Amino acid sequence: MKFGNICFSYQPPGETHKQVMDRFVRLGVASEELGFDTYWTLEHHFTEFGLTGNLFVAAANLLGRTKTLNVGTMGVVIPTAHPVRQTEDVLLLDQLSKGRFNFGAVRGLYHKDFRVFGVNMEDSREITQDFHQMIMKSLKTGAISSNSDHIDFPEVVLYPKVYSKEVPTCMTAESASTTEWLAKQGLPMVLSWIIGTNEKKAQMDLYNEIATEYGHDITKIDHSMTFICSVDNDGDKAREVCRAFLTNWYDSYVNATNIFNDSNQTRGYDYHKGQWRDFVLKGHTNTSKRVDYSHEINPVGTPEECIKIIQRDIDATGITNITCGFEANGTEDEIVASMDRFMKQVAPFLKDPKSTI
Amino acid sequence: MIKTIPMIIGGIVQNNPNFRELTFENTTKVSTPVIDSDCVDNIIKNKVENNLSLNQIINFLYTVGQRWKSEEYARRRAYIRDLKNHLGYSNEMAKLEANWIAMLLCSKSALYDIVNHDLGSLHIIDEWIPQGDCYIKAFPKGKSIHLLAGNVPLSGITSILRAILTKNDCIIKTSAADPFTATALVSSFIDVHAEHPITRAMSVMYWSHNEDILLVKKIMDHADVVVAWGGDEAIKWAVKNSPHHIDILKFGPKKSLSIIDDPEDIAVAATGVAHDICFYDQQACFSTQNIYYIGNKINLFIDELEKKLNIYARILPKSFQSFDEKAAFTLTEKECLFSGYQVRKGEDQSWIIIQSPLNAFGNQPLSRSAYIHQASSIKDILPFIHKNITQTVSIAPWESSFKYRDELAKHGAERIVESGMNNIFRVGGAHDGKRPLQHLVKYVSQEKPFGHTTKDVAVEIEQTRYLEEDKFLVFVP
Repeated sequence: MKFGNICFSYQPPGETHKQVMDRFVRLGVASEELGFDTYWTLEHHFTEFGLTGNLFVAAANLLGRTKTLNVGTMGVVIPTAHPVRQTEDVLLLDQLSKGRFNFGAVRGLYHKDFRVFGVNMEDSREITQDFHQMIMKSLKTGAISSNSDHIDFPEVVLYPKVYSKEVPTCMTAESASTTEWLAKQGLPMVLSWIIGTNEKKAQMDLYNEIATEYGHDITKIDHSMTFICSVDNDGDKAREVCRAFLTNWYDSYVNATNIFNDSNQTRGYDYHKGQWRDFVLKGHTNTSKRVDYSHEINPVGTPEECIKIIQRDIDATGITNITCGFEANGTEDEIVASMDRFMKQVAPFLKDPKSTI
Repeated sequence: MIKTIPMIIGGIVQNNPNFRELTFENTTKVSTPVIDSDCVDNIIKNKVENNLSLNQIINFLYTVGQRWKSEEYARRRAYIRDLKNHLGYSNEMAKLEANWIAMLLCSKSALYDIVNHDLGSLHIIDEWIPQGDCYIKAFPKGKSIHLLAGNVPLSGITSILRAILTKNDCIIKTSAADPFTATALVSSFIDVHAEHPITRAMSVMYWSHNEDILLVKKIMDHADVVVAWGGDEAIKWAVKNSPHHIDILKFGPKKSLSIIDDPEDIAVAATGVAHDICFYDQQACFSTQNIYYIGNKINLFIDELEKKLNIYARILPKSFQSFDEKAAFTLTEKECLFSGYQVRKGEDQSWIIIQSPLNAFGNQPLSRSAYIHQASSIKDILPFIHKNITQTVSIAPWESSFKYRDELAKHGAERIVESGMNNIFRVGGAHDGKRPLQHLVKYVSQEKPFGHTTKDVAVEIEQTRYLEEDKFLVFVP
C-alpha cells in the first residue's frame, strides 16, 4: 500500500500568493515527516485554481527540502512545452533526487494554456501521445529525435543521463480513449476523485482487458486513485470544514476553462463535456450539490467513514496506491492535523483488495 | 484473464463466492456468479419505494442515455468490446448496438408516447384519472422477471425499459449467449445514480435452465409478471416455472418475410431488403428469410440485391461464424444447387440468395441467407403467412402495403412495415400482437358512490330500498 499527498496550490479567496506558496512547501515537508510516500503537484496557468505553473521547478524545491519523499507531477501538461526540454527536466530531477521524481502527465483542459503556448487544443490528445512516447523512449535510449506531424528535429543526445533504471510515470485518465491508450502500453493511470466506485471499476476493467490483450502483466502496473480527504473524529466537522474551500475550488475549475460552455465546439473533449452534461442533468451545476456528491464518494468524515470509502474503491479496482488531497481542511495547521489523522487512523487500517472482481 | 460478469441485486454489485464459466461460439469464456440461497433471499426481499413520476423516470433514462451517447464512456467502450470479442460482432454491428441503446434511452418523446399509446394515457401511471363513473389508475404489477434471449440484445433493453416505464421492479435473467447487455445497462444506472429508485429496483443474473431448479423456482414463485423471450424451449420453461396466476408475456420464435410488389425503383427496394436480411444476421424474429417478388423483373431485382448485400458486407460486416455455421451455410448452398435452384453468394459466405419455386424451401442456415420466390399476385403469398408464426411482413413499395394489409392481417401477419424498416419498431405499434405495457400494469378503479347519478340512471342507487320495494326496474333505462 502506498500513500500520496496531492497539493492543488489553489488560492482561496482572501489568501495571498505568498500564503499559498508557503503552504505548498510546508505541506510537502510535512508529508515526509508524516510518512507519505509521494507528494504530488499540479500544473495550472492563469487561474487561481492552481498557482504552480512549472512543476519541474516546484518539484525541485520539494526534492531539495526532503530526503526520502518521492515528488511527482500530476501532471505536466505535455503538449504545451517542447518534449526535449521536458525530458531534460525529468532527467535532471531524476539525477538530483537520486530517483525520487515521478513524471506524471496530462493533456490539458484549459483553453488559455493552449492559446498562450501556441498549441491547437483539438490536437492535444495526439500531441500528448506523441510527446509522451518520445520522452519515455528517450529516457531509455539517452537520445531523442522526431519527425512526427507535430514536431520535427534531428537526433540529439540528452544530458544528464538517467539515474533510475526506470523513471516512474503516470497519466491522469478520465476518458475511455486515454484509458485504452495507456492500457495498450501498460502505463499506469491516475483515476479521478469525482467518479464513483462503479465507474472506477468499469475503467479498470476496460484497462485490464486491453492491457492483458497487449501482453502486459496487469499485476505490476502501479495505478493511483485520487481522493479529496478530510479526517476528523467528528464527521460533520470534517464535511463542513471542506465545504467553503471545495465550493470555491470547484467553481474555479469550471470557470478556468470554456469547455463546459454550451456553445463550445472544441473537439476531442467529449468525456469532459459529457461529464458536465451529466452534472447539469443531475442538478450538480449547483456547486453545493456538487460538493455533496463529492463528499459521498470521497473520504471526508470520521476515520471509520474514510476507511470504508477508500477500502470500497480498493476492493473494486485493486489499486493500492492511494493519493489524497487535504488542502480543503482549513488552516495550514488544520490541514497538517488532518494529514496526521489520515496516516495514523486511516492508512494503517486499509487492506489489500479482497478481490478484483 | 477471464472476464467476470457480476451479479447485481437491488442495484448493488454482489461479491459472490462461486462462479461458473460460460463458453461462447468463438470459444472465448466469461465467468459468471452462481446463484445461492443468500442471493435468492436478497432478490426476494428487495423492495423499493418507487414514488417517481413518469417525468422523473424518463429524465433518469435520458441521463443514462447521454452516457451511452458518449464514445468516451468507458462502459460503452467495454460493451462494444464484449460484443466483438465474445459474441463475434463486427465492430460496426457492435457500435450500432451501443448507439441504439443510447437512442432508446434518449428518445424522451418516444418513451412518453409508448406509455400513452399502450396505456391510453400519459397520466394513468401517475394519477387516478376520471373514466366513466370511476377513477382509474395503472399500478405496476410488482416484480417483473425478464427471461432474455441472446440473439437480439436490444430486445432485452426494450423489455427492461417497458418494465421501468410502468414502475415495476426488474429481475433480469440474462441469456448464456449474451450476459453483457442487461448487465451493462444496469451498471450504467449505477454509474449515474447508485441510490436511484430505478437502480435499486434492478437485479441482473444468469442461471441455466438445465441446472437444479429449486433456488430459481423460489425466484420465479415471487414473480408478478414474466416476460419471456427466445425459442420454443425458453418459452416452455417460462410457462412451466411461472406461477399459474400471473401473466406471461411471450415473445417467442417468429419468422418474417418481404413482399416486393413490382417496384418502380428496384434499387430502393433492394436496399431495404438487404438491410432486413443483414441486420442481426437474421437472428431476429423480424429478419427477412423469404422474399416474394410480384412482377416480371425478378432477375433485375436479384442483380440489385446482390449489389446491396455486397455494400452491407462492407458497412455492416457479418459477425463471427463457427465452423458448424459455415458448414450449414455450405450445405444449404450445395443442396439448393442439387435441387436445381439458382444460387448467388457473396465472398467469404457474406450472404447467399437462393431463387426457388413458391413452395420450395431448403434449409435456412440464417446468417444472411434468403430464398426468393416469383409470385404472380398476393394470393400466391398468403398461404405462407401463418398465425402465431409470421411476425413482420415488409413491403416495397410502401404504397402496396395499403392494398394488402387486411389480407395479411387476416392470415396472421403481426407487423406490416416498409422494406428496410424491420428493425425499427415504430412508436405506437403492436409487438407480437400485443400492447406490452398493458400486461405490466394492473388497472385499479375507484368507483363513484351510490349518490352519483349516471347517464342511464338518473336516481341514486339505493339498492336495498329498491329490493325491498321490488323496484329494480327503476334502474333499467
